[in-house]
Amino acid sequence: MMTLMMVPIFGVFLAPATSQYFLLLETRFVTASSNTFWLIIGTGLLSAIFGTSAAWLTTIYDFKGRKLLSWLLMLPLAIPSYILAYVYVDVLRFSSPLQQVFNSLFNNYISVMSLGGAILLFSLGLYPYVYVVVRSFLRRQSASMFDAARLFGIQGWALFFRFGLPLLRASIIGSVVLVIMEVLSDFGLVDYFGIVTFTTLIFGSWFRFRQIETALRFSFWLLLVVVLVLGSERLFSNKRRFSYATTKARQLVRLELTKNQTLGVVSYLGSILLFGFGIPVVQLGVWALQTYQRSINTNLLSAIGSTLFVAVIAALSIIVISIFLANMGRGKASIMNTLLLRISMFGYSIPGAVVAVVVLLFFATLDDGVSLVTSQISPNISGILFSSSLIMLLSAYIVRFLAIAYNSIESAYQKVGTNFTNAAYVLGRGKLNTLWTVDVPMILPGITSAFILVVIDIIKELPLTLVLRPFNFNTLATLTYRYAAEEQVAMGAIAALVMILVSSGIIYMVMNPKGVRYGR
Amino acid sequence: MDVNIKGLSFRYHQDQPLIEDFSLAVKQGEIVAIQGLSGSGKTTLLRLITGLETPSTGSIIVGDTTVFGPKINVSPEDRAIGMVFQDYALFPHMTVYQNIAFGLKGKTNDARGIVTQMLKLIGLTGYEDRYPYELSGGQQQRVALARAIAPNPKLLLLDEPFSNLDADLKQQIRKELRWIIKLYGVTTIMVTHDAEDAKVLADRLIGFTSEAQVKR
Repeated sequence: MMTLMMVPIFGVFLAPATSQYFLLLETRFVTASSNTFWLIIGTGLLSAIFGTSAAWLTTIYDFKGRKLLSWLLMLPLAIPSYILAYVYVDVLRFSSPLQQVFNSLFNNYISVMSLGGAILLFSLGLYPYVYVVVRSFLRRQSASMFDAARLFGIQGWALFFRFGLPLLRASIIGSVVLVIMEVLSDFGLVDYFGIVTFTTLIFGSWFRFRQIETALRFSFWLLLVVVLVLGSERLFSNKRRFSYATTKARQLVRLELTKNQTLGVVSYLGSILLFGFGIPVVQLGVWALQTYQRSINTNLLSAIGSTLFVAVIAALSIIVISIFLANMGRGKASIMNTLLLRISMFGYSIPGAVVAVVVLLFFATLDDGVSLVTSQISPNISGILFSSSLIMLLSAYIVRFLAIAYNSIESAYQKVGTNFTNAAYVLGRGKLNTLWTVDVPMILPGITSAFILVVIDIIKELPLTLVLRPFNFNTLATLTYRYAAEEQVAMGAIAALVMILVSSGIIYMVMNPKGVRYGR
Repeated sequence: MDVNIKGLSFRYHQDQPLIEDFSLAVKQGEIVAIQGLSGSGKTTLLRLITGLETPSTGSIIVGDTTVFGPKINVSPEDRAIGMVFQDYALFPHMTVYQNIAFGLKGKTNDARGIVTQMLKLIGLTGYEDRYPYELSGGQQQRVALARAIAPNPKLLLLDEPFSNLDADLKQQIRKELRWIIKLYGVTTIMVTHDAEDAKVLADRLIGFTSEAQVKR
């Protein structure tokens, strides 16, 4: 898929570039590169610190409120970075109480609309990726390893730095790469803060100049960054994928914290949660109360409907395609399998803006073909068939989010194995029948989690939707964006809250599953 | 039904052949045990007969139907061969009834009658609404056998039928199994690493070593 997407992107370099491209290249390229570099380094480090510390503290230690905190800490995942940006710009405006306090203490103001501010907000919103991955890795480890470390007299900070960190290195790096991909894909936050990145250049080329070639050229640079990031992941974590994970291992016995330690840990984790979830939700709530008489209108209702509609349709199509792909690659070590593996690795790492540009180009070309045919029949028939329809948006969602669903469904298949399917064949059932009566019911947990992940991602998705939505079509994300762009942030509060509420609900369901378990 | 396997060979990709020039003739109603070490390709042999793997050469004739031969390769679902898998592969999301009835779909109007008869045969009447995880190992094994013979297959294959059972259960179940199979008169090929299994259950025992092992 990566290669497929690359074709038009490389192809564009054969044609002469426009003057706008050279202008942007000359005036913005260095800024975009350095901004991107610092965003990657800063957010990578900070989200690693937040995520790893939260996972370590809630897994290794026991303290009052640990259970509640361990799932609450996932919640910031429900808030898109651009909403954090809208909220904090207002919370930290010059006249705000917080700034007054800060000013009286340090004789200075906090400027959130800066590279540093962006790094902080990205980290607050994205650290859950690190938290989830590191936590699930830690929980699968055998307790005797920790006991052994303790017998050597290693505890407290030393236990983390001498024992934990080396053990967790690969999973931290792996999850930080996910965070970085999200940062590279972001448009809403950097756009609002006026930070130039490759994504904003891609969008600028399209929205301001309507030049898809220029957008394609910047897509190339952005993809180059992606390749560099993925390459350095391999460099740093190669051959360090420990898997001592075993189900037979004894469960970890958590260390009790003293009262004072508990106080420290709870206030640390509590403040991450406060800034990442509490303050934004309260602020949105205040705005909602101020504006609900005007903001609950047909726009909002139709945005809710549209969001659910596209999210469900896209998620269902993605699942059908994933099941089909997973079946093709099942149990065979073939070229097909390697190819599928590639998809699952790269699909998610292509930034939304790049997907948008390529999909746009694809359907525009298709429409050119259609117009060519229709103009032969009658000059009155419009040839614009796809590029103004939902099909374009839905295809883009499929390209962008297929990999997440595929991974989830593929790993469900791996867990089930091929024996049951074979048993069904031998008992005389055909391929489709077996798929429906045996495979699908057995991989249902994988299908459910794929569906949930894709739906959350589509609800929050902004850049793709902005570019590819049909005229006058709004999702909750684009509606919030539009209000913010018109400097009426408060009007978008209810849309944002609905988004957060739905996503939080889904996160809660995933974290506290009540599914059927077959006791095999 | 008589079964005739001639000159069967199989290899994984570029590897050495795992099975080379294997031939076997089984008479109607006979139980043949194939005994060999683990890794010798016994399970693969069964997978070749069911059609889950494709041999490189050879022919397999069941009754008067060639299911595999030059230019012929009948797909597993159309071979009418029953198999009891080593780990039983009972569908965990289906009840005992649904498991046994699974292979009957579209083949008979009297699925309920056949399942009832099967349950009686394996001594599990009253268990139809249980799920596999609610059964003991021995019970699961009998359900797997019932599921395999319910569609009235031309040939029954057993893959290490006792490897998941406790030693004291084994003795009893071996005899039971033989009794059920003989009652049904279905031609049977079983593979096992345990000579004792073979002696009690089978009419005839043949040794099995793969080409790869001979060369080693």
